Amino acid sequence: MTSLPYLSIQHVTKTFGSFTALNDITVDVSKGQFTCLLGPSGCGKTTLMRIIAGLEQPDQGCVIVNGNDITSLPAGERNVGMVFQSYALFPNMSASQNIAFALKGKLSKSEITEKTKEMLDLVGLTHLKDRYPVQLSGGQQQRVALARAIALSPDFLLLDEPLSALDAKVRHKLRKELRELQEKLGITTIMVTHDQEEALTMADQIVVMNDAEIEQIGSPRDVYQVPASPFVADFIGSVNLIPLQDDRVMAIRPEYIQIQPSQVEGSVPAIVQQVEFRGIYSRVYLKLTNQAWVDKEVSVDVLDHDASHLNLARQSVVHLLMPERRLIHFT
Amino acid sequence: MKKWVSLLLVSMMAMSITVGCANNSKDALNGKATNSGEKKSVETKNNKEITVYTALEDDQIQAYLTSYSTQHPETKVNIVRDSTGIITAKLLAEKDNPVADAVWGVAATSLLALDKEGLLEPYAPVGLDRIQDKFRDNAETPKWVGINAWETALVVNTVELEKKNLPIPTSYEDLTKSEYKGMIVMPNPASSGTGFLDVAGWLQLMGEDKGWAFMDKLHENVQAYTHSGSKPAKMAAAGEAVIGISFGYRGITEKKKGAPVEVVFPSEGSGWDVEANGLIKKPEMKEEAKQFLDWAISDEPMKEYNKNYAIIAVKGEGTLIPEGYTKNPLEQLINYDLVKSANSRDAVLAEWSKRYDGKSEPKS
Amino acid sequence: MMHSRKKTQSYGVNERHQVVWLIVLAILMFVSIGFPLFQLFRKAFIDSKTLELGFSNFITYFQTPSLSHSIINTLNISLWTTAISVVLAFIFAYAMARTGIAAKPLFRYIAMLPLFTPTMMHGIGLTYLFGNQGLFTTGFFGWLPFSFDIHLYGSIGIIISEVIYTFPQAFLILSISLAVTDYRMYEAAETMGVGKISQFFHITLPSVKFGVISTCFVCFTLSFTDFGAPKVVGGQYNVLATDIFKQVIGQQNMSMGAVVGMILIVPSICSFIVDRIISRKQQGTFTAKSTVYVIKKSRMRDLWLTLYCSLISGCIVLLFAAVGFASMVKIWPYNLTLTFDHYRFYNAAGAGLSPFFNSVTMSFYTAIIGTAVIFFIAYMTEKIRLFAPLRQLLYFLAMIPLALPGIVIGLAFIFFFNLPNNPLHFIYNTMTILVLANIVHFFSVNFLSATTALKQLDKEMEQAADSMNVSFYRTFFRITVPMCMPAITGMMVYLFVNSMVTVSALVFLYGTDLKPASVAIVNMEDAGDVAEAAAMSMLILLLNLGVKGGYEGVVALINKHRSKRSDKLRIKANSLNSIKDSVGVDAHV
Repeated sequence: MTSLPYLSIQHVTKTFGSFTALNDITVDVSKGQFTCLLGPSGCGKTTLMRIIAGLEQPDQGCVIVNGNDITSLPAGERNVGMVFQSYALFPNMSASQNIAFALKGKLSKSEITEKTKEMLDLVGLTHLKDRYPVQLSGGQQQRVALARAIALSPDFLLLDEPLSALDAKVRHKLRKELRELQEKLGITTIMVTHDQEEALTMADQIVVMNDAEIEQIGSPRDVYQVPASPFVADFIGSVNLIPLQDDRVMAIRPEYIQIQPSQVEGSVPAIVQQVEFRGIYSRVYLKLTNQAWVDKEVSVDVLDHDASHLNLARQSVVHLLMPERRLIHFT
Repeated sequence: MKKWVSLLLVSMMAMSITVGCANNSKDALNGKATNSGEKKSVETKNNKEITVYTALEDDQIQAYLTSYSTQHPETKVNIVRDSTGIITAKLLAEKDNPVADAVWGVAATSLLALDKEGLLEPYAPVGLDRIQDKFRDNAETPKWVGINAWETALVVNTVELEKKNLPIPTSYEDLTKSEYKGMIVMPNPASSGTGFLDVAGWLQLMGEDKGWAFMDKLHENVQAYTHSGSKPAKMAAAGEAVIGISFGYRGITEKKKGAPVEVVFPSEGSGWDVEANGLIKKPEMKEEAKQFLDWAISDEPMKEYNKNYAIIAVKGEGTLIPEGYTKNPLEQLINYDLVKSANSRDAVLAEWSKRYDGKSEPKS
Repeated sequence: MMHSRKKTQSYGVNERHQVVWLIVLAILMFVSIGFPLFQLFRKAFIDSKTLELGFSNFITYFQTPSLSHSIINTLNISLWTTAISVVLAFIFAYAMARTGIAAKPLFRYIAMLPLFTPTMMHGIGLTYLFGNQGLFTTGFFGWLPFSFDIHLYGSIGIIISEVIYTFPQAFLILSISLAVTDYRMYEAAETMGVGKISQFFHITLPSVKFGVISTCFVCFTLSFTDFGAPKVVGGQYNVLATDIFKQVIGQQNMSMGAVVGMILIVPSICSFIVDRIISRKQQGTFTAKSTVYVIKKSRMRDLWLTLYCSLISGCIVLLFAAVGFASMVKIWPYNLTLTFDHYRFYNAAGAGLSPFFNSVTMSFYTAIIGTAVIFFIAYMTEKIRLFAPLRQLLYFLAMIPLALPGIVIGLAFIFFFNLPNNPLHFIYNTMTILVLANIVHFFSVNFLSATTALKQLDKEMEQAADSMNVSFYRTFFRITVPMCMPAITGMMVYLFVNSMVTVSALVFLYGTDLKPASVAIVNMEDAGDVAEAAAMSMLILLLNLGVKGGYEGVVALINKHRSKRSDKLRIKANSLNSIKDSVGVDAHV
């Protein structure tokens, strides 16, 4: 399966005035894959998506789909489906009219009716087809927008922070649904998000971006367990960054540190500062007291069950064990 | 390619909206048959059309034109009507690109000014021999031919005078009396033909120096200078002014309507001017314009003119003296050199404006 | 690097159409705004005799005392008008926004009345009230034992007229300023024990500071350039707007007209600049967290302000009632028999009722074509993704008319369209030029309200349609237009009403048989047919009220109907309307 990637972004650079939004970005996406563009706001991920959609034009570089350079193709001719952050539903049209809107002139009347029905079925909104957007909940609107985007059978689907406007419960539910739908259709999908949990749960491939550049491309497991940079480590999940000598940095995630009541081999002493109860586990904030890292703050996640066996009162001294295999070293 | 065609179509549609608007307005125009009220002209296919500029009174034009439209139903007359000064200025401004085909009932002094600019084409209308010499251009083929004369008259509101216990003024001299302070309204000579004949009349009657001295004194009593020559009469009729320096016809119509006014022809005599016609010189001069000028001095319109003006231009004893006029309208007119007035028009207006225009409020 | 070459996006069908439209629109706007203005500048700066470029016309102007004196007169008028109008309107707006007085809608409607009539009507009303034979001057025809003469004709009359003219506009802007506030500040002041008067000076006034400044400029500009009122009650008191009329119409002295035109633009330009600065500064004074002002009970305050509002409304009603009455009496003041004769206009210096129908036709075209063109241009500048330089050019051109008084537009139009070698010369003296002048005159205000409405639409909707390969015409007609319907119909009504009342641009442009009603009023007034002028004003007023009332009625019906669908939509429509109204304020300069 080392065939050509389905979508290839090559050396794309984009500036707005003096601001560089994208700096020499190269990403490959294979067919049917779910890719997340992940990064903090302003990192360039939305710009990259808009370049793929043809809504922005790169200063340099090209976008290749299936071996064809589409960089100079206008948006309308790229055959992409896009779900916008605001959904951009047409407020004066009902759900089914929204879906049918783009089909007019491209399909026959009966085909449009058929297709609209199929799409409504697919997203489970048949019973609400005559409702106007303001009469739909956020999640329902999101599904209409999705149905509208895929009605044209696009070559790939672009999702611009599609879940960010929803409340937590709906968001979690839709994550699953969205992913299921994507797998069912087998449509190549690129989603922009700033929510690392979303990216981890949904994506086949995560492209972590920061400051107009790509920090890391890899599977969710890779970027979590083997982050390529302190930024990635810090952005995805929580991490303790501990400086070593000669400018090197060592990282370890809070759940991998073990708290020992007394000193064991390789442990370092620390003083408990604060304990946050978080349900199934507690997060313990500590200050290291050994010479090399004096006053360095670290956090440790302890299962609630284990915590009850430890004395974690404020100012009590404990000993931390950082397993070698869980340590990540950056140079 | 197909899309480009559709684009072309869309832009053509946009164009047609704008153009359609222009066409519609023209249709509306034809349908309305202008001021003349001739409805038949709409159907004529030859589309004969002339544009006539006039300073005749609005309420007279319609009556005058009825006989023309019965005689020449095929010709549509576009009337442009405004105050004498404005019609003159308009004609002068358009001299490189004249719109008018003929002028009708515009002050002779103005026509003389137009002639100086070479705007008039000599034309001898049919029936020219019937016109009195005094009321036409002296040249054999005249550049202007008069239809009637009009003259200065004072329109006096008797109710207001009674309230103030003042006598009716009978002469120009009376008007300068201090008891009439702030009660007099007269037309601005720059815009109004009547205003100009008042001023030019005084200058010829009294002579330059005395004339201006008189106006200086009069100015002290003037409440306002109006844009048109009719307005002083109407203001007097409505009591907004006590005395309006206007012209005979307007005063008499106001009186007929029931306003408490008397029309006074001042004892010194009245300044006057001739309402005259002329043919505009332009690359293509229309036969219809000449036909119109022929009609304009024929019997029927003359009869109509005579309903409003005591003095009409045709020779003969039998002309009617309309109700309200003094018995000898011709004798009321002062000795007046139209050409001299016309020649000094610019200078007189400039001097007048310098003296009386743009002053701040009159101290009424 | 291999990929360093920038690839330009090839234009899709939409983009190709858009760029053609942008170019077409830019040409249209150059022809109807840019070129005429250029001609005006040329006329002003080129000596009429020697044809040399320079300030010789201006020198002539300032050396002619009768002309240059008008500047002082006009400034005098504008300053007084501004001071009086802003104070009166502020108290009125305060009463509406911050007190619990009764009958607010009635007061509000009455305050708006002057917007629906030509300014000549205010002057005519005043002559019937305070002229030499006015109700007050004669002590109600002697029925009352007392009478008083305010010596109407001259600066006093003009100032009163202009106050009536500018009052509703000032009231509108100030109402909006007073409506937008954050009640939390007042609550904070209360908890700190700050007194009511101190609250007024330290919270209320500073919060409406920009509104007041902008109101001052609007009032000043409106009264500086108004033509109707000085024409009727100005007497011998010359102002710039009447000078321009005398110079151009009376004496056909185009160069002097152009010079006066240049002077007339100055305050509009200042106003324009100040307005831009203010609108930039004002952003952010109102946040989503701001709470609505809560009106507290105070009987004394409400009593006094009810009296005040009744007095102001009474004056306005009286003025219009006087015009209505005078238009129906035989001969004011000598024969007060009622008659409809004046409404037949057979005796008047107009041309019967035809000017009225000319105006209706013209206003109708202006409303339809104007709204279509303006909205489309706003759409093209606001919602297109590409061609930024072209769009900015269009925006710039669209904002120019905001600084152009109508009289200047009229003048610029004669200069440009009457050039003998202008291929567009044929529109001279036609309905087209009247409609075009009106569209240009009211362009910017409507452009801004269209832009505001468009800005409220989700920007991503166009992009969504674009990415689905939908023709932008379809997006425009199926989505943008229906969504902006409240704004669009509002624009239509605005254009219709204002075209009915405007006189300034038209007075230079009307052709042989296309005299608009407002010009007929001027002509009839000129000829002394004041009762007929009053009658024509009444017709305009009634038609405008009918149109506006009908529109409001339809909107109310639609909202009622829609409320079933969703409350949200209605709120959106209403907020659009109020924005429209607010923008529509600095209207007919």
